[in-house]
Amino acid sequence: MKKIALSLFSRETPSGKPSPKSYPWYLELTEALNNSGYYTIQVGIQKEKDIGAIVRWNDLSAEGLVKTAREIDSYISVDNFFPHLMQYYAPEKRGIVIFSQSNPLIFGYPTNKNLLKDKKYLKNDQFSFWDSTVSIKAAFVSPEIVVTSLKEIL
Amino acid sequence: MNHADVTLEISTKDRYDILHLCLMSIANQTLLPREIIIYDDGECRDLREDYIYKGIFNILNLKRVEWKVLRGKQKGQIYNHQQAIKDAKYDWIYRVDDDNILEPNVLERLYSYTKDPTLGAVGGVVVHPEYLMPAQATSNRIEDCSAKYGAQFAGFPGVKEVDHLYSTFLYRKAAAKHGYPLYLSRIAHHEETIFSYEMKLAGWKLLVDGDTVTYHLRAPRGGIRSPGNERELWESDNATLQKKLKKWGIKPTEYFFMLNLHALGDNFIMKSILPEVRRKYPNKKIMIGTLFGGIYFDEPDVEAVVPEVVLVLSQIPAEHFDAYKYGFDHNWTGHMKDIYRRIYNL
Repeated sequence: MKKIALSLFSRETPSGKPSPKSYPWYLELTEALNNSGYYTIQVGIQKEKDIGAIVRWNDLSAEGLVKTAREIDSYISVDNFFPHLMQYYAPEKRGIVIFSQSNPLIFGYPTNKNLLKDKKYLKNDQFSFWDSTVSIKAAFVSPEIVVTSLKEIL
Repeated sequence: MNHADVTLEISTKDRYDILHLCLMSIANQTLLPREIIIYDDGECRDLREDYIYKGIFNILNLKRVEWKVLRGKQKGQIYNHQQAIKDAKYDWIYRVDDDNILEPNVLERLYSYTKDPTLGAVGGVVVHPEYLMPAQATSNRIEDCSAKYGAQFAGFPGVKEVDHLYSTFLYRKAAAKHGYPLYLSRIAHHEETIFSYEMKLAGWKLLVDGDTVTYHLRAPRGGIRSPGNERELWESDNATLQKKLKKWGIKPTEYFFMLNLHALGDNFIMKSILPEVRRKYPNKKIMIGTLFGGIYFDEPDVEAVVPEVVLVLSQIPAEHFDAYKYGFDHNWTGHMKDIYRRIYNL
């Protein structure tokens, strides 16, 4: 079974709101991955929602994150720390990165499969805080597209 | 009343409005010095005519502390400190700044270390009450003396051996045979560092007691090290210290400062440019101010510290390091990693 790390949430905004970068269909996506025979690992923090992965690794230390990067076969992440971690420690492992309102040309890596549904959803100011950004569910690609993309890169 | 065989000396200049606070804190010590010498580099008022000073001197008389006020050499405090070595009746000299206020147990604690026959000098923590220095901004090593603040700047539990002292301290007259660095300018910047490190070079031990607290009010007027219009004197003394370090065979630490106040991912991006930083600045030690210091666990040459330390030591405003501000200001459309390269001139 291929080990797939899932990092589908981004950190809360400074005022404590859910991040508009977090993937809204996390349950559906994880279920589809489980049903496709992947060994899913939720990598995140204790207080975030459970996405239904086979295992959950919470609050990993820096050393734990590096070990994770070296153990997994691939990953699916939103535009959070995880792709940057992977790029640093395991750049040879391609991942799926789900963008919505942030620009993959600025925050992504060409070696990954960056899924941006439509440029029309990109924030005008890519460098402003996320506090004032409204979450747009329609800005994310569907779970089916994510699963298909994963199959393509593995 | 307990007394120690100590001469306490103060060099002062036109700080009559604060010197009495210092003297009163000395009069309230749980262990009193037997002698106090005040060297006045200022207008040399007769302090006995001032009812506050008169009262304090009377208290010292009651407590059987001998005191005298001598005219300073008017050449800078370092000459007064040198004179104190000659004038002191006792084998231990406690030099105190005129804008210091001592907690009552300071001399008792410092003096307790003098039983050690190898001790040259001992100081306590010197707190600036308006700002508590983060411990990571301090160092007890001589090679860091230009890059970080001395160990006395931040409190810590217990006692530690140091390479040099920077401020008020108690020292053994016999360990001061080399004398003060009178070749420095009138303001004598770094005189404590040079004087105390030369004790260390002569084989004497230097200690700082982290639980002993003296407050330094940093009086804005009077004094000998008036900041501002004497920049050339500060620079000249800095240059002299560098020459001394070279002579001692010490390679001074120079930092390359980096700062990241953003999220974990931004820190990983910044981390990815470290090989380029090392290539461009091979002689500098990298210090990174970050909220995610743990991610540098595998970079042994990187000193990861809390952000405040970089701001204090570099004196560079935080916005200079802000990749998001840079991106906004420059309508950036390239990759974030290239912003970090720009910020750090790579």
